[in-house]
Amino acid sequence: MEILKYDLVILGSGLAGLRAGIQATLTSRGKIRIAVLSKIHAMRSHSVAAEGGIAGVLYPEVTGDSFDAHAYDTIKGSDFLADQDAVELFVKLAPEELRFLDHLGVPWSRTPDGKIAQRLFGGMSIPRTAFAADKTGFFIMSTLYDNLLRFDNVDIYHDHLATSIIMENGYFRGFTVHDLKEGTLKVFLSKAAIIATGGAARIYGFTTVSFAVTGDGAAMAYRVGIPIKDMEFMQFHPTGIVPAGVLITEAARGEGGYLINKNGERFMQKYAPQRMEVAPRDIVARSIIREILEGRGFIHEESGLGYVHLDLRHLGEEKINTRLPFIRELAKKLINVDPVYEPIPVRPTAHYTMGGIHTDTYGHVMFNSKDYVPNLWAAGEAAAVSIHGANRLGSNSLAECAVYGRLTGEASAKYAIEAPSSLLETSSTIMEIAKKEEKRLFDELFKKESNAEDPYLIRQELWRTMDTHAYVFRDERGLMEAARIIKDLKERYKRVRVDDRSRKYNMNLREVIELGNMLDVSEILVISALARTESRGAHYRIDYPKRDDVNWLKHTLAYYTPEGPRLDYIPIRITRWKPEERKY
Amino acid sequence: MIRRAVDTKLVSQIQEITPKTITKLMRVKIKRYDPETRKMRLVEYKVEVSRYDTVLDVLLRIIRDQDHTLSVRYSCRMGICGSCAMMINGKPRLACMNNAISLGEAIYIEPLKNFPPVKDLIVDMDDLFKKHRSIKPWLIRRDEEEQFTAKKEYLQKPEEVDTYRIFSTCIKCGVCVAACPTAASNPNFLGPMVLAQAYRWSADSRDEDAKIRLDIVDSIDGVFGCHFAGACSASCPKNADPALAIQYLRRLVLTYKR
Amino acid sequence: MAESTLVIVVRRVAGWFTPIINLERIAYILHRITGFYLAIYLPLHIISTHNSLNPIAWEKELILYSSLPIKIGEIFLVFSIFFHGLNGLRLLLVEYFNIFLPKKLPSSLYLERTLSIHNPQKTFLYLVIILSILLTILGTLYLFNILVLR
Repeated sequence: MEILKYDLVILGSGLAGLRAGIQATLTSRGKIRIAVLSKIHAMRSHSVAAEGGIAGVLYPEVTGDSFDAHAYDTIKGSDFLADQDAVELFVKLAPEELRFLDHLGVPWSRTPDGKIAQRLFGGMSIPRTAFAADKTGFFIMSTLYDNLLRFDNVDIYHDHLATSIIMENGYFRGFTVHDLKEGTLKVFLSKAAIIATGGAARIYGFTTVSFAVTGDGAAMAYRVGIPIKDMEFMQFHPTGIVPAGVLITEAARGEGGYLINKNGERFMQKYAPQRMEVAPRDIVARSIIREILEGRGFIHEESGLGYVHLDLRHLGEEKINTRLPFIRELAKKLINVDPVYEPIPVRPTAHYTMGGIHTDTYGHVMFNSKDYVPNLWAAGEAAAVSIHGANRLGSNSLAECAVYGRLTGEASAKYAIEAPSSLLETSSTIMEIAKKEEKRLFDELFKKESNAEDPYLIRQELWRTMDTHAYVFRDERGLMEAARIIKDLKERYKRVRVDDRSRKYNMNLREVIELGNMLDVSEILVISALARTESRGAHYRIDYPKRDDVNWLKHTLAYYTPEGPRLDYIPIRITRWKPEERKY
Repeated sequence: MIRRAVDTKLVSQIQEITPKTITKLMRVKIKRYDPETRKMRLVEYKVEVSRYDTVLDVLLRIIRDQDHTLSVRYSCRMGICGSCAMMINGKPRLACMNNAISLGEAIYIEPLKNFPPVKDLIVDMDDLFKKHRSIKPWLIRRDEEEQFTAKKEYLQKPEEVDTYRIFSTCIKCGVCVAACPTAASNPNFLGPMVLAQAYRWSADSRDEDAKIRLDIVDSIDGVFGCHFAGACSASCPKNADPALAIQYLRRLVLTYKR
Repeated sequence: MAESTLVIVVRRVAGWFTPIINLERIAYILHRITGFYLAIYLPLHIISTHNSLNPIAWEKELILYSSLPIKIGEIFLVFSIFFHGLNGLRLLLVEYFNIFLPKKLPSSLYLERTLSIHNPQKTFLYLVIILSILLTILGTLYLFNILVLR
């Protein structure tokens, strides 16, 4: 078994991971050795699919914007569940990040005098979303990856899937990593680590995210005793193409698109009269589902899904070609609909995981509200700081990835410089854990029992359960049913088989490992949702439709026990904005 | 408050996934590379395909229902990550953006040409990434300290962005390399993707010292290995037009004064 | 597993031929084939006309030159000269002077046609092919003495 030693290991090569890698190199002046691991090619992380933009208060004197305005929009958008000191730090650092990305070479869309253009986005009161055509996430990812290649102290490992975290005495020691190309297990030991593995929206069948977004980092952290925070809040993006689930960016509504029901009316008038289509995503998603349930939506004959229309025809071909070219291409290629001439069928799709690994204001992973894991950080969608609270505003996620990539990169680099190299010594505990992991993974290759389970059937069952019972509207009966089914699926997973016996690039094995992580994350989501008897942000209970600030103004923490997640609660940090009613 | 009766409607609307569309039985012939025997073998599958299915959907259905051992690279299924590049009916394409039924009676799939295969349809792209790194795909500025710490953004007019923005939409999928005849015959040729990226960074008005990069591509394995076959631009799934970038790059290499 | 040079060369040459997607690639293949043909023909021609110093061998050669296979080879030679020349001119104009390529790139990323291999470059390529074929036909007629230049 190969053992590799680094000063810093970054797990995940999305926006947050790559930004952390660059910052760690700059902070340490290239002295520490960094490894960036990705289970696919490093530049293909799902951050490339982000379309709309990245928020930051760039020109306050021109637009009348201010840090307080951005912070207030974010906190109100989060339904007052965000930690306000973290939000204040975040809005102050976001514009610096936009300028830093410009210095790295991102092709921002510009105003005629050369400054970075900004546009209005969902839930924001003032235009502060910078964008690069409608592929902002892609351009930023591409630029960050290209710039990471500059540094000789960074090693990028493609096709490396981490399977577990090795902890010893409350310290992080390393990862056991499966090298997909060679088919062997490696151990990466390091002084510090950053987990930036992304969200977990693939636990749903109808989702905007890629097949690789399976919540690996959160599940691995959960299994070694790190709590997962606020997992019940899963954002449903209002406009996903039916039947594929592919994302239509919120910018389509920001540029002036209309949401139309079967009767041809702009139904958002009833639910958010001030903001209309540009209201925060949870409100729009619930409005769309309510219209469909009350019979004013269309039904897609091939998949049975209900949908409404997103009408962009009045924008004109030129505006669509300049501002929204990617969605025109997607709609034409995937469902043969040209947005210039026809409306697009859309429906809410699982999109973003507000929950994740519990960290403090600077991205440092914690065991509870006061004990830290001294050398582990988490950044991006995998972490819950929490800035987005119960609902995320559009374009805040890219800004969060950049800001927390920078903060965790800086902090972990400083730690790695000062940490003793005894942290890199192998011990018997580490080797034992590694050997056990190797046995678990590769013995699965030789299971030949006749009652072994088919992982793809388990996954299909999981998707159907989550799509039905843990969707936009939830209730107790549905969630309990979901909890029961997931428990049953986890039992079946213990007997799962891997049919592909080859060593080299075994995608079957990778999908089985991911399925285990997906089942863990779904269990946490359902149990947390069952316990939270209120509706807040993206979590809406039909049996408890009101927000309950008296009992529920707190974060959920889920800890691992063999019987299922054990829930605990910690308070929210409030600085200046008292919770109020959320109307748009 | 919404009553319980509405629940069942919600359930029934999502659970009715029985396709009511006409499906067609198609033959899918896949040339798979076996790393044990180091040979390619042709395997044929028959699968039901519906109107909106892409080639990637068909492959995933084969993996799920018929053969768990088939290995394919895929991730975003919306044509932006570039993982699923392969030869479909003789042409290099992205599997997730090509409709299956419109390909005719049978689909013939092979691993991406001009790359060494690893297993089934998966190829090794490390060489391409190394070549990409060698042309310094980043903004070269005279003052590096300032680049990483400055407080003001670089001004760039919209027309200046237009000069390179098309080429920066490259998703590094490798389809152009598979289509290029020079890349097929010369393994040291940098390839259309790398050369187009060299132009993208050299043409960016924020870049200050393109000479370093131009010296690297100024060779028979660089920009002068290209003889404008144009197949790269014809097959690029994002229309990033590498052939155009290379012609501009050639002129830049020959006329750059500094 | 070392491969013989012949296998490597054959595989490399075969790489030119598939996949054929567009007309410019066919022009690329023809340019290489005609270039190769000219590169072989010219030395052979020089060596053979050297024999004009020897009257007997020269007589034999002239008879050889009027045989059909050589005539066919000469037709292809005519095509090679015209095509390689005209296509070479096209490549020079496009690759160095950047003529026929767009001067200003559009600000929208939604492109219906790929800019480099469509008009006006394509028109010039059609011109090159049509001119080459026409001039070859003219040349063939002259070779077979159907058309006689005075």
